[in-house]
Amino acid sequence: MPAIEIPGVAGTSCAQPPGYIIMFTTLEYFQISGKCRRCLLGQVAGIIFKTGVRRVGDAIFKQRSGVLGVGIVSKCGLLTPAQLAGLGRLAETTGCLYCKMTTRQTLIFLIPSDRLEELRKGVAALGLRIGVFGEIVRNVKACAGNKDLCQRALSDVFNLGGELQERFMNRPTPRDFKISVAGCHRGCTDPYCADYGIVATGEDTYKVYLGGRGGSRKPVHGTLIAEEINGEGVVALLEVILKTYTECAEPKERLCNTIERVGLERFLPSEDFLEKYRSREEEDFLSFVGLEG
Amino acid sequence: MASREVNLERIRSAVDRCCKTEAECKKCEKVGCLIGYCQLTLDYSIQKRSFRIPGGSRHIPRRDFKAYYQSDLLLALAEVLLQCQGCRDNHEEECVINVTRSALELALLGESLNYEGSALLYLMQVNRLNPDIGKELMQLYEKNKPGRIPEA
Repeated sequence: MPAIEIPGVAGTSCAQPPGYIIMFTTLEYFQISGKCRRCLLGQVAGIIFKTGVRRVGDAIFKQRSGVLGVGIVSKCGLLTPAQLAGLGRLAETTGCLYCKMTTRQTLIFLIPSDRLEELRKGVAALGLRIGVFGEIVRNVKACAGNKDLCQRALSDVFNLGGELQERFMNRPTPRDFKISVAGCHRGCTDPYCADYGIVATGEDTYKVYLGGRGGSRKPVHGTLIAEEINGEGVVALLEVILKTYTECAEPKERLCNTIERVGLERFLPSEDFLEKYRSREEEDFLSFVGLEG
Repeated sequence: MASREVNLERIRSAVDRCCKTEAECKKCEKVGCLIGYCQLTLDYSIQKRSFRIPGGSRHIPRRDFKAYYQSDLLLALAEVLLQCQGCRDNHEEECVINVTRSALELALLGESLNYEGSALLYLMQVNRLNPDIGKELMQLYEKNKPGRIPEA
């Protein structure tokens, strides 16, 4: 899909990568958002429907009841006591009706539409951020996978999940792209149904499943494309996958459908690639028992 | 995969009793021996505080054909089955309990069974394969089950 440059808008105050069109789902949102977005509405409204423009933006939705639903993202759903207390105060001061914890581990605030900027500032001050939606990499979902939260966790998933979120969240993709990390093969965060599902099999050893889809009438299980790779490999592989996906996908095509159309082979990493990121945990065991080499 | 209730030291003690020692073997083969492999695997797990043995199933010394004392093996295998967490569909081949079970099973039965993440299903499998061993193993398993009141 051709990207369209909008000089002075994309890549500036919208905090989106240059060269991508930004469109929001509701007219109300344009009206309540800042100057830049009003400007964007004026410039591209006429071509949105001709070009099949990307639907991306902040997770702010005008609800049927008239209030705004605002998604707040933390690092894989983790909150410090200070953040939790701060959110409580913010809920009261912004006139929040109530909050909802979502299946993607974000927190929805339902607030009057004229309190959005106040909430935005408050959320940023707590080291949190407003979520994203649309045809982009979404926030990363991770299980309760560390030594404090789970008896079965093999790895600390928040390190890897946090890095993935920091690096990839909000990156444009042909269709929404969901990442899920689990600290063991039980997969409490449904990594087998994520576009990019990661399952820890050791302290720094992971399996990667590609092309899953959950939350649909036609759920799809992802396919195992890499195992025994370390966290660095998981990140490097995702870079390659996103590039291939963008090259191969038709507009608005979900990854599972692209894989079905062009074949999984296009997405499979080479052995040379994987070898660079192989976990050395088995070597550690072999060395312990005296079976080196 | 195991959780908090697992007592690896208990398994280690039961496995230790299966060791024929250098008095019988002359020279300890360590990792080349099924019992030695179990001991090393359990030590690794205890030291690393991890229930996962990377590559543990693949490296079991399947060419160890020594004859062990059946009664000791049965006691050790029963202890392993008592420690199994019954993960069923989430059964993990590289779990230290499974690796130990596989090695003991090989020493006891001379072959490998497909473990389905359940001690009871396994006991039924063993019973089908060898009713005598199966019966004895089941009795030991039942006898040593936690919460069972010892007979007077």
